[in-house]
Amino acid sequence: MIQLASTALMISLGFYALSCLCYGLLWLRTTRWVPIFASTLLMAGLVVNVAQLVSRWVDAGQPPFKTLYESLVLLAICIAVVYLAVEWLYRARVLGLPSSVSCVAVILIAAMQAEKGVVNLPPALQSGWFIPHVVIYFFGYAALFVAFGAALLYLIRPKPITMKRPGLFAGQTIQLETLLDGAVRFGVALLTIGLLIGAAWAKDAWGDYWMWDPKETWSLVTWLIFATYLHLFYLGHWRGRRLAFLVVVGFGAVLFTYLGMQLLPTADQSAHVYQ
Amino acid sequence: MNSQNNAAGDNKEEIRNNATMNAPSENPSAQPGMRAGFLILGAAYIIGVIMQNGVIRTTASLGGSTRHLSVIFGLSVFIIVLAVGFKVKWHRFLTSNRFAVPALACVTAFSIIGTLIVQTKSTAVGASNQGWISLLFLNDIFHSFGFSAVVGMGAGGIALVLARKRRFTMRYAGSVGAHLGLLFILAGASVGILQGVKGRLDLHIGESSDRFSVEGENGLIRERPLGFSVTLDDFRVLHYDRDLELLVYDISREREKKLAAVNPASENDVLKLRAYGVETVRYFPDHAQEWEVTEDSGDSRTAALGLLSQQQEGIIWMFDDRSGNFQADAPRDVKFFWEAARAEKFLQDNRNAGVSSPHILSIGGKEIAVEPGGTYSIPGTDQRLEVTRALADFVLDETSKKPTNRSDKPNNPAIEVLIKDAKDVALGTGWLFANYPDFHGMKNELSRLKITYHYRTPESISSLRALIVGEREELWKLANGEVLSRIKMEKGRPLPDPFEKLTLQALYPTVRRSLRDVNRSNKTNNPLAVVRLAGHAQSLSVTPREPLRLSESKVLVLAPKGGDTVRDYVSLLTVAAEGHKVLSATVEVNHPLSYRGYSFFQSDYRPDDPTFSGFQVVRDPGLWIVYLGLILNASGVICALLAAPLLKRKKAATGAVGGGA
Repeated sequence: MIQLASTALMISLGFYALSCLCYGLLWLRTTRWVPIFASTLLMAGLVVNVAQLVSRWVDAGQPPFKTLYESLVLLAICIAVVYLAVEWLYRARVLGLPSSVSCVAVILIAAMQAEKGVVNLPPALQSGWFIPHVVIYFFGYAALFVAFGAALLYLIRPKPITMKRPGLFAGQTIQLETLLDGAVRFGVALLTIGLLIGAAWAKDAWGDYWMWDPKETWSLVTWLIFATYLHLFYLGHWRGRRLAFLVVVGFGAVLFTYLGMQLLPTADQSAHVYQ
Repeated sequence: MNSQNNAAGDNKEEIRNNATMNAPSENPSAQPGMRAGFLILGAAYIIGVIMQNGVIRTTASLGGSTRHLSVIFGLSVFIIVLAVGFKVKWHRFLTSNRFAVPALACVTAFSIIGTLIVQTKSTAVGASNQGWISLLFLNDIFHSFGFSAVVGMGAGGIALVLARKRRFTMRYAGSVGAHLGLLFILAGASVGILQGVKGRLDLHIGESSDRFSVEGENGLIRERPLGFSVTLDDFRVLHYDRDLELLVYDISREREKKLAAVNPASENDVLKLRAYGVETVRYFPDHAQEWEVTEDSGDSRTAALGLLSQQQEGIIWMFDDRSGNFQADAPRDVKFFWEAARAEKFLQDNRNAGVSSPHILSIGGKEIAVEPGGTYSIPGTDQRLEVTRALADFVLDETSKKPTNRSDKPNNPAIEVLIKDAKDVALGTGWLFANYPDFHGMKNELSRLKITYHYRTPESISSLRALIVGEREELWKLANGEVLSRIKMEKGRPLPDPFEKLTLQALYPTVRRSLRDVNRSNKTNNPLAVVRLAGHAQSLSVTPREPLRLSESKVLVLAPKGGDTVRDYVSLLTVAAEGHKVLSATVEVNHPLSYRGYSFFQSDYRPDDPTFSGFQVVRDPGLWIVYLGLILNASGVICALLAAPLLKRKKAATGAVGGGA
């Protein structure tokens, strides 16, 4: 079963990589079919990715969200879903390249994990809070991945982008700031709800809703950085590159919170560190 | 689509609409800027540090809680900000993002610091001094006065903002909800710290308690009454059905690296271990050892008795090697001798001995039974050891700090010994603990002498109910060491009462015997792998608890696949009040028991003591306020960040359609 899952992972990686290529082509030349291929390939990768996750869920008999490998697979799904929602809502493919690159990178890191086997859920994770907490948090992370892509593009090319021929923008003029802001707000909302669910769950499990655990604290740090973004947004002279840079910093906090906990000297005090 | 085209215009509109969230005039030259915000917050932190240093020195001797004072300090700052905020000049600044952003930045910075510096309870005088880190309370930052001050100032700013009037919009309503929720969370947390209590309750199966232990900031443990009693009726650790794998780890690095993982039941898989020097593996998921016994007319000195039990498979063997008894899974109240004369001598010797002492000291590898009040020579020296006191369940009394007996049960046996030299001069004294043989709390003499203490449940001849004498094929029934009757046994027939569940299967005067490894079942009840290493004739065993060292840097481990096998910890608790049973409930992780404001959370267990269960006991009167805050905050965020933008898009789209038409 692990072999089959690895094959499915590679297939989804292939689809994501091809979509990445197509989204990249959109920046160089625009034809009628390339944008459709780009979205279709991304969706195909998403479908295979979801099928692999569901199959692992059924096989393991438990939600596949415990190990780093499983969480990376989930993250790739969330990034693809969030980006496709952005594409549909805004009718813009400008964030297709950074988002598909993110999916490829995440799946590659998952494929490199030594431990891909199912790990039994310890008693603390056997809770009704487990699924909503993880899923909401990862969709929040995914939104911030998309926001990071928008911030990077904005820092490279801050002026509004207009394309005359169908392709990236289907004839529209798009402000990257708008996409960036929308993705950040969506991400912050989900991070907030995920954080609150985590606190309620901790109370049920351990009797304490907040223990200043390093992972909890860094989740708070990430949230605070993006809360600062929301407040600075209303100081007009902060709009633009400064805010985009803050989003890049916030994304760094997201990555560190997700993957960097074992680097902390206080890692031993945390129940959230991936082994 | 129109909303995208009008994005620039919308942004201006948003700034205008939200101008009331900031100072009416955002002209930086007219108002203090963000720098002022950082300065004020920094000053608040420093004042907090100074106050905390002063408070610690005052309250340490009183045993007060600086954490409570930290919360009170934060609340005081909050009130001061509210009071100052009514002045128009400060009001504009304190309700602006030029204050909010520095507050957010400071809390962020302190939070990061709290994860980079190991947090300890530094607030007690006498805690380890780490120089400027301790001075600024960075090693207990989240409970410091300074951090409370910064949070208090931020909360004050939020409260002032909420008091201002606004034009009602979905985004504004959401913002109010989110910020009000934060205030509720902080308020609930403060109530919880000031009025709540958290402690531990440790019970063994069958034990009851009407109090729980609370650890103070200075490490002192006090007991507090519950007002009702709690009994642990049962405790189970449930395990996943587990497959096991043999793993080779490289332990030479700081972090162990897994080199190989194989299925021990698969011959092909096991071949992969040859690269690490493992030649053969025999795997037993449910390992047991059985005796292979054959009658021998040679020079063996061992007699054997084989009994068949109705309650377990296989033969129970008892051996008499003529120098002592050797029993294997035999009933404890029966002994086997071949010669009747030796059986008689055993009875004679043990009638006179009486009950043996449970206190056994091992000194330099030699064991001696000791009694409180006794004095014993220490082998190889001219020193003597005096046993001054023995406690079955050692604990330090909370008030007098003196050792005392918590109960009559041998839960934590300990004895106090005094070492004297030949001239009766005391060289050292200390406590030895049966459960903690490496700890004796004593320097000098005891540590040099390597004395360890064991507690053995007392046995006496009065606990024996029968002797089996092989040469006569007789069972001698005993009562208090006296032979009541001698009954002939027959092969193939059950033994006399009260051993009628055992049938005599074999009786040999001399035997050859060897142990062999067998598998009792396919369930992984007692997994064991027998391995043979390259260049070694002898086989070695590997179990989940005992890995095998292959070399300086490599170990072989038999471990469950999928990591931890514990599926659940389940305690059955009964609560009684005023002498009546009130309720019985199971407590598991994520499923606490609540009664009269106290909640019991499954928190601890001991792998080597399956009767022990530990609970975290919490009373938190502020919890409902926190939950209200969580709901308000979540609702506000959903409104402001999700619902409002969607509504706006819908409006813009409708407007565009209307405009287009």
